[in-house]
Amino acid sequence: MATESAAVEFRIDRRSGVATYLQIVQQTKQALRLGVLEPGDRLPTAREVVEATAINPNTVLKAYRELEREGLVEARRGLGTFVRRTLGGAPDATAADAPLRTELADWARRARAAGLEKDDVGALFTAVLDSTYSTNGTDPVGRSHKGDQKR
Amino acid sequence: MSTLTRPKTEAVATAPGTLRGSARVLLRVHRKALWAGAALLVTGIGIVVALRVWVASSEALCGGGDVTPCGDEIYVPNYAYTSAEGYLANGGTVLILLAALIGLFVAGPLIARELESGTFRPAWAQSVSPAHWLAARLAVPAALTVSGLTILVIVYRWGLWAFRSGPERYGTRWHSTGVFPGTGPSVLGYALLAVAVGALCAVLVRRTLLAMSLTALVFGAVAACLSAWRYELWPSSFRKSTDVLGHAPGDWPIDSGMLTASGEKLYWQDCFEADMTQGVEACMRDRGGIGYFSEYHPASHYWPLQLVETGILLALAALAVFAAFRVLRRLHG
Amino acid sequence: MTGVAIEAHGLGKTYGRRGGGHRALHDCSFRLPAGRVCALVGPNGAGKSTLLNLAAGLDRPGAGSLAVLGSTEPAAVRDRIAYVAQDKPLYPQLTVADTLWAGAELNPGRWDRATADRIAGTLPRTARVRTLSGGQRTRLALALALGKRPELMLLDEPMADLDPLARHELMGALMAETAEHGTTIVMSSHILTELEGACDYLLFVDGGRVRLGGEAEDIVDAHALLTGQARDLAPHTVVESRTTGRQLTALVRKEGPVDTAAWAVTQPSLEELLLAHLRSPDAPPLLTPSASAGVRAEGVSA
Repeated sequence: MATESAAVEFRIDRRSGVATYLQIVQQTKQALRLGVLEPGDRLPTAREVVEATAINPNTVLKAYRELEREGLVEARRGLGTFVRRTLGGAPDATAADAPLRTELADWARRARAAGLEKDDVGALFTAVLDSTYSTNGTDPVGRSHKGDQKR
Repeated sequence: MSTLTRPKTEAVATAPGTLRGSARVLLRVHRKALWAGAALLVTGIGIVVALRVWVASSEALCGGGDVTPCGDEIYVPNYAYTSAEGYLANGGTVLILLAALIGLFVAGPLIARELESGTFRPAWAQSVSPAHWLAARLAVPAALTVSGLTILVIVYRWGLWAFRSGPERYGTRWHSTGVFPGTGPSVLGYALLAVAVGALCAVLVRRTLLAMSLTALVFGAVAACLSAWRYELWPSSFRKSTDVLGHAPGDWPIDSGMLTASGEKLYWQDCFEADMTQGVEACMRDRGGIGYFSEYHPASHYWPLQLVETGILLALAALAVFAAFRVLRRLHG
Repeated sequence: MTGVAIEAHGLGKTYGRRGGGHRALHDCSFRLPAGRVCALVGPNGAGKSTLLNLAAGLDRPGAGSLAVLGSTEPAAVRDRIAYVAQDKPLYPQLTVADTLWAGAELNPGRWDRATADRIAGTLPRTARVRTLSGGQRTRLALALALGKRPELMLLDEPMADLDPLARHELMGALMAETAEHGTTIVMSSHILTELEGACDYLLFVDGGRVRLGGEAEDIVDAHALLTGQARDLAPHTVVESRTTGRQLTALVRKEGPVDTAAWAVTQPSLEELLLAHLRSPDAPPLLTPSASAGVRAEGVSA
């Protein structure tokens, strides 16, 4: 068991309708994108996760297997599960002082000054996002059926 | 992992450990009862000691001791002497009642209440098997009661010793119903029987009050029967004479009457309904009685009688214990 | 960790007199693989407590056979089983500290004092058990159960008395135990949401037998909620169907691919699934392969 503490902790929302293991996968990826997790970081052990969240350990293991399958983490026997690589274009792209982020922050300030509510900005952003990334599969039906089951 | 490497034999190896653990837990759970038992023991000893001190310190009515023939056949006992003797004449009964009390405790709070309230579950769900659970509930009270009562029996005998030289009174003679069971091992037999019957009733009916009532009933019946037919437990001695027979001081007279020429026994009570104007003796003579006889237990029969009674009680207790384990096993495995 | 924790064949238990007694379990067969966290759900009086009692070796089955942790005599492995009864019976006159001490005394060579102390947490050690609240008693009972380091934990309605915070904390402790030691846990409840998320296995008991058994995920996957124009649902097994005008809503057990052109297909939640089965007592039972008791020896020890 590694002595250093884990780099993240997971929050499980039972009512979100998203399968618990997917929540862990998504939160790990989010942390990778935001640079909260970096290569070499240790993910919390299954024991640590379930003690804090009261979910089934197999759910955690399933999420870690999924992350491992995607090559994001690796399990080292007896030591724990460690981050192998980061996500997103580059870690710099999402860092607090990355150019894209400062531009977006700038744009958000202008939108606010123009009188847009937060929800309006969100809707606008999603619309633009959808049209920009529309080639990446639009499957409104099959969205999350696999993961909808409550476990 | 660690669960797999654990050797399977450990379950067997821990068995005596769980019995000891059960006993220790039992003692802690019933700590108050334990104190109450100790208090009873001390009270019993205290009463006997107090009576002896009282008798020893009381003033004799005519010089020369507590009770003295004042020059003729008339005894003038003092108040301390008669009172103490009166109390001690019931010592055996009190000890049997104490034994019954233990039985009631075993039947009620110790076993039936646990079965009734479900507190047996955490015990059995720990590593204690029902058999160990019951064994602890039999062994602990049995051991404590036997030791406590042994002390009380010794103290009681010491108490009676004070009256050995006095005039013979029926109340404190060795065979008196109120004395006999309290002066030897039979009271230990009563205690063990009470514990066993209590356990059996408890596992049978599993209701605190019902088990206690049933125990009282069964134990009371056994004690009453033994008390009524105690003289049958050992063959009595026989004595005949052409004169009316008296009894030696240590004798326990059972029955008497007259013998015919052919050796047939005529008991006095056979003639009780005879014509009273004639007298019983005349009636007996009419029936052919020529000599007198008497059946009795000499003082030397004390130990055989004690041991036979104890043996019967122990056998009954063993039977009850066996039945209790059988019942528990049939219900719970 | 590929053993079998509990395997039941034709299990039956009747309380009361032989003729007119209450039949708590009847011809109940299933298997629970080791290392799973199993929700034992069902309506009140379904036989959940009876099943746990039998598995804990506190009662003997009236019919059939039951093997626990590889032993056909559950009582013989009682030192490897922990059982917390529904009413959490404890000696009322003992203090919390005494109760934990008793746990150590009753489990020589097994007792894990640190774990028991950790679960007992903030319970006042000098308080007598009779003064504890329901939730505190549950905590103490769980401390006793976890302290003996069992391989199989049988918990009857463990969460019923707990406030949400304690429930979360103790459920977390149980999950940590199984994560670390591979402990098999069976938790009964008639409220599924209490156990969701924590359990990966399901035994749905109703009317004295197991109607659904297996991986929670597989059981859900085996069913589908179909909505469309009223028509024949064959070849699927209909658990429950409802017609409103021309529209038919049906919960079916899939037998082959579902015609997605004809039906709008969604996946039911586990709770919807259980409710549908409760409303349809005649729906056939479903046991996934891992939950099916082998064909071994019906009646060998009956």
